[in-house]
Amino acid sequence: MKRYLLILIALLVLVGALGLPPRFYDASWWSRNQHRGAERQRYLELRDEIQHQTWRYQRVQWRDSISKALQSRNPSNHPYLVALPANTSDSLEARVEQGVRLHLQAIEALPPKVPVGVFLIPRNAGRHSSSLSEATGYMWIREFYVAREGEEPYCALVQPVDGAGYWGVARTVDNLVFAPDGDFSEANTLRICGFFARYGRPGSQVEAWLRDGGSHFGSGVNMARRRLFYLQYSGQRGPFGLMTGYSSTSHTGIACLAGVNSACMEVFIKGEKRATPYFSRRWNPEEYLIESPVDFFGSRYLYGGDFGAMEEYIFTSLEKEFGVERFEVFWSSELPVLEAFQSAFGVTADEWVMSWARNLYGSVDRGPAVPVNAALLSFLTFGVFGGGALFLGRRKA
Amino acid sequence: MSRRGVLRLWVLATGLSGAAIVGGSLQAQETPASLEEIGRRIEALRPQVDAARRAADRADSRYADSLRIANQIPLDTVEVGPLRIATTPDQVELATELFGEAWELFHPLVRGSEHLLSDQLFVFRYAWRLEGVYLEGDEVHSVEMNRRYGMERMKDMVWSSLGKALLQTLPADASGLTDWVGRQPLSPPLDWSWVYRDLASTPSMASRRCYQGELSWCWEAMGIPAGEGGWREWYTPEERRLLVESRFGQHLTREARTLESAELMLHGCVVLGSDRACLYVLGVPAGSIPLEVSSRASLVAEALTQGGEGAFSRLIEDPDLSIKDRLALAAGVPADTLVALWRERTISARPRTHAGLLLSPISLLFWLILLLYFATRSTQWRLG
Repeated sequence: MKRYLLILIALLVLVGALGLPPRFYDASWWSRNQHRGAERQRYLELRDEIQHQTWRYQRVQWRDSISKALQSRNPSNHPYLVALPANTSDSLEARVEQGVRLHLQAIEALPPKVPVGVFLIPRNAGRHSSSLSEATGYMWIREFYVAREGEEPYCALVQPVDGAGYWGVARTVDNLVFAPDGDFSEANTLRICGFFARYGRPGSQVEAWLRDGGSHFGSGVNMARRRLFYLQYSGQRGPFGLMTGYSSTSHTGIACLAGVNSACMEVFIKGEKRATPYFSRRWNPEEYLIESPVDFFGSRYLYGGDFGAMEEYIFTSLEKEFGVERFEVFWSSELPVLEAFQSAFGVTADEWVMSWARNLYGSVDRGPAVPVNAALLSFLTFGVFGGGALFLGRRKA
Repeated sequence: MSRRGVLRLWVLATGLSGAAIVGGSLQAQETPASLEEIGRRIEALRPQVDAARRAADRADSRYADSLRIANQIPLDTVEVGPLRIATTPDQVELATELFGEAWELFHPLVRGSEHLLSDQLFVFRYAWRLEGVYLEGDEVHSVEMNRRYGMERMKDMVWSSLGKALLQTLPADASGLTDWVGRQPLSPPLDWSWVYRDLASTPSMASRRCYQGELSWCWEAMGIPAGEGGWREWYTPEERRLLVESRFGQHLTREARTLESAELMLHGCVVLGSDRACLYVLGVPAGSIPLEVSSRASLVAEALTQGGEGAFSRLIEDPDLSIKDRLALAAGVPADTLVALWRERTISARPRTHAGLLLSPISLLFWLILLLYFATRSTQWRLG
């Protein structure tokens, strides 16, 4: 036997002797200590339950207060509402108010068709006295509340804030209002509520679809800017046209790019699958949303997009491509959402999603085979190195 | 629209307290039953949660004790100055040697305050296998490293652990100081030439003017502006734009990514060239101090060294003082004198070599030639 093989085998035996049998060792005290025994499991389950109930207890009250404030306002004096914690500085209030006004002006929705508002609520407001002092999960996530069936329509953006902490009012306002007085401004303070302001209450089936995750498509307004800063969204290809931008695209998204219409349909109809939350924590509010008394309307963090953050721009893409009149037809339609889409835009949702996504990412070879470009590149690499080796070998001979 | 009117409306509606909100909502909506039901559920759950937490803590404690009893390897404790080091009997000598070397350099920083370190315990191990030590706690510093990383890394770790211990002795009210040094180990520089490189090469008006001898700008370069908003002067508009472009490029930092607006501002700064947008991006906390945290730590080390006996105690004694005043008090000299001494030491550490410009290519060439030699000659290793 060749000597190098013997050495190799000896080395493998040595590694095996040192490393086998496999042992678990985790140096952190936390993981050793929190060993998830039955008692710890029991505690975590109960803690999750009380945190969830605390979350619900707060949201019910927030919703009722917001609903009452929006519906009882005087539309002529208050076409929209802005509410911040009582001790907030005037300048911050002015920024939010200006942000909302400029957004409404930009989309020609002043006065808005339905009452809209922005509410920054202290994260502890409305907590039950028996709640745990530790914070509930998902406390910084932006929430959208819309009217329930039978109520007068409204749309409210709700952002929990921490008075003195990292997510204080100032930082939250920075995040919410995009410098409304500069060349780099962006009128999007209301997010999805901007669509309510412009087009009014959606048709009931469209609204149900929005609630189930479709609202994610209306979070952003400037897709070109985002593509500029995130290479994976830019549609740029690597050498030989190889796709390098899969990082933000789910398997469903890739199937859609490969031409599978049912996958594109799945991208569009989110409600069926209840996407995985952005944060993977034990307590998952989305599991409770259906039975929650609050018509919680999603958040950019709760719906993992099949095309990453690009999905946030689907509504603005539709508006741009087909015009606001046809988008309004879709928005207001009482037809099931897929029929409403086809009726308004003259194309099926899956076909449009496929074409929209391919404009962003290009198409993908269908099936399990190695892409042609990748195969060619591999052969070329083999050829170069093999040829080099042959050349050197012959020269030596 | 009256914003004040809106705010009052909101305050009336919510009262910003649970009771007021509940009161408001009970009359108008269908939710009172739900709300009461949820409230009762929370009240019922709370004692169960508290009891379960106590039971879980007891169980975890039992589990940890059982691990300790079953697996703890024997350790000796040695002392080097005020430092206590726990290690295996066969490594007492090595631990004493390494901590002794480090302590010689650290001692000038804490002269007169050595007792602050006496509560700290350093667990030292330099071995192929590291399991079996169950000493944990706030005052326990793990200085454990696998032998495969080599002795130099081990020495660095000892050095760094002393710096961490020193940082940990800073009282909570000195959080401004700990944040300022980036919560990095409070260690004196092993090599001042890196401080020089930082000062000489940072593209900032503040560090440039400090280098030229304008002492007030040294404080600015350190991130301690003379007045509120002074940080805006650290860079020229062009430097700001280049800094944002180089630091953030096309990818936002984790910090900035949490802000949707930061992305927008990055666009404004880099693409549209708006200085206001650049100021915004650089204003994201702790993102724009010209000199590195290690250079800032070197100023602390200089202050403590200059201050001699009791310098460390003076550094932490008055929580109301600014960082600049604390450093001056610790050093026992006026602030500008301190920064002048720091600058002098930094400038005098200007490296004579060219940062490995020669060494790297030589190393590269060596390996290239060696591998080419093996690749092109016929040996018994060839397949076939």
